[in-house]
Amino acid sequence: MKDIFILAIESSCDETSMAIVKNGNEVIGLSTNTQIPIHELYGGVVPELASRMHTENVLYVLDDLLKKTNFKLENIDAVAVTCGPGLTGSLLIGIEAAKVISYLYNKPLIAVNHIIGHIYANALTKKLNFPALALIVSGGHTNLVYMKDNYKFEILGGTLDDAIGEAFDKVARVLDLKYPGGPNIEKLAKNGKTTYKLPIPMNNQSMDFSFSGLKSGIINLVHNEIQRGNEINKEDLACSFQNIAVDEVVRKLEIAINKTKVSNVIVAGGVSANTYLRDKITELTKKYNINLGIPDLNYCTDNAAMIGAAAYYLYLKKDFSDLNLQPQPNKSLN
Amino acid sequence: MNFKITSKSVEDTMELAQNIESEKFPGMIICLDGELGSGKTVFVKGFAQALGIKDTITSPTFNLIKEYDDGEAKLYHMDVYRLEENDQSIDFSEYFDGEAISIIEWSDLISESLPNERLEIKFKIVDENVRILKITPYGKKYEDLCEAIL
Amino acid sequence: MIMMFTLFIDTHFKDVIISLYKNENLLDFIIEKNVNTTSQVTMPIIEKILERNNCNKKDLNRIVVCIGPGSFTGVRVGVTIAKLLSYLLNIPIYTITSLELAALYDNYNHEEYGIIENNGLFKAKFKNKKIIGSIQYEKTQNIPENIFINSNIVLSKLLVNFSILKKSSSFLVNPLYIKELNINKK
Repeated sequence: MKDIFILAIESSCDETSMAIVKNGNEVIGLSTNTQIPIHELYGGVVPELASRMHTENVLYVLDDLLKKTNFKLENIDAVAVTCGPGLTGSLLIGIEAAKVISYLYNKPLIAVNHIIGHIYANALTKKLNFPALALIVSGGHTNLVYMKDNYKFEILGGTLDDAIGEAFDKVARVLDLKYPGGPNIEKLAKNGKTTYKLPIPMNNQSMDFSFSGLKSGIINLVHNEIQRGNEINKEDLACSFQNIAVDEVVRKLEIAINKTKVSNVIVAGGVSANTYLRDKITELTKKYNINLGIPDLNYCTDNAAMIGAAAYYLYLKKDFSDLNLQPQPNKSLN
Repeated sequence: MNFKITSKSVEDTMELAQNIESEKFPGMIICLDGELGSGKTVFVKGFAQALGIKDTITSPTFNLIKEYDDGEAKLYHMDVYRLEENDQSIDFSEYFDGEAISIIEWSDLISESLPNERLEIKFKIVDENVRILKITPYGKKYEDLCEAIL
Repeated sequence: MIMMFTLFIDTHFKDVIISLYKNENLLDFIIEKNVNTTSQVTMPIIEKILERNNCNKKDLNRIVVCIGPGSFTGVRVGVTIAKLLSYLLNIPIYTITSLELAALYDNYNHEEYGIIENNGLFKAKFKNKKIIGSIQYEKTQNIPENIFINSNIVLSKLLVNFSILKKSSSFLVNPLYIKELNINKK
């Protein structure tokens, strides 16, 4: 079979990223411009600012990618772009850029779901085996998904309120940590102990997640300690929160493993970069003797390589889009 | 005109939301403000439940706007926490001018884009379970609504 | 005779305006009014206009784009498309502001022009076909008496008045926002 090269573009949030991926699993080149230092000043992603920066950076990222790979756009087989979920203004830039490339070079345009991109980030490291259980842990999503085969999704459980990444970000704000919250909580937690007692979320057999109680618990605790004039040990608080949140996720994953009896688990989403989570899930899958797919740290956070991986299957199925493709900020797995 | 309600629990907040829902009208706009964890999303859950929406109401902090079509009325649940003043990337008039009901969390942040007529609820945390809700109607329709339920 | 094909892209507000020129002459144009979703229609319109004029994409020699001010999102669609076209086809790109277009279409008959936006207007004063001072934003629901809001689009004037266009480079073309973002640093 002929080698397939896909140019992928990802701009759903605050990273402008482009990649060339071969056969859905080999990264020929990846170029990413992160806006984190800018949004850090404002305590979080400012959508309008993100859109402005995508517009400013889009050509630099493309140029950088083409120069370092020496790849000619005439030789790509398709161009893929994240169409959602994400911030409309951000998605827009990537989508329009993809359309121009598709149009000028007469290559099919492939619209990719960002969450599915995270799942297929794993394909860049190791071939995905099915049926598999996918655990998606990101800023906007926390889901347990049963995948019978490529691109076949059945949602087993989701969040009832905040997504886990969101909870990390909000707790980070309460603790006065800089954006992005997740990695900063992880950093603090490394030097802390689980000394604070916090309410355990959704302590039952459901595969749904809930983090708002835990978030409220932190907020109440901080308010109470401040009122009592006690000093808050941020490291311990970060550690307590992180461990309880992650333990719960792992517990739900275990319930799902027992229910579905799969022999493959795939982890996806930005929070999969968290070391404590990685360790706990590795422990769990070893216990059940299951294959674990967890993305390489380079591909956990938003990047275009994962989009190129996810696009490959759509290419094979000839699932193409048109020049009227629009951003779908609330796109779901269904 | 404004009203103060004490909510002693999640259930109390949801009940208030349901009472407000019973007086709903097309194009209704409710603005929710208050600290993290003060119960804004809980309010929305109560409201949505009363509307008959089966989908789980989750935090739209990341997505900014979530739409729910399966209730008695179409509901837009917005969370502009990640927006700052004058953010232009969303044309709110698209949402506010229609028949759907919009509930906006952290509405303070987009005060310039808010319509003159709306219902404002400010949540204040007193302790673990207790909240004080300050309700201010702007516009006759909202004033009448408040008179009817509170 | 050398044939230069120029594509003009203007998505600065609710209308999407695309025109094609052969040298300085207007060959064709498509104006889609009151577009809610600029991204849905702009590229399809560009495809259509080139196709129906038998103009091969690679035959384009020049891009002209309106960089605003106007709707932030609207302008970005046009600007992104223009940047990519210019970069990939390796052809020069020129920019013009929405105020300059208004003045041009109106034959510079007035001293001050305004572009209406959702909560106010962008305005600029003109003398000798050029903006004097700078483009400003005024938050208002009423149009001040001395400001003229142009509603005619006279695309044929664009390339004939080539000197008012600003030559740029694809990497450097960005929207002109004018409106300040009041963001609080944390």
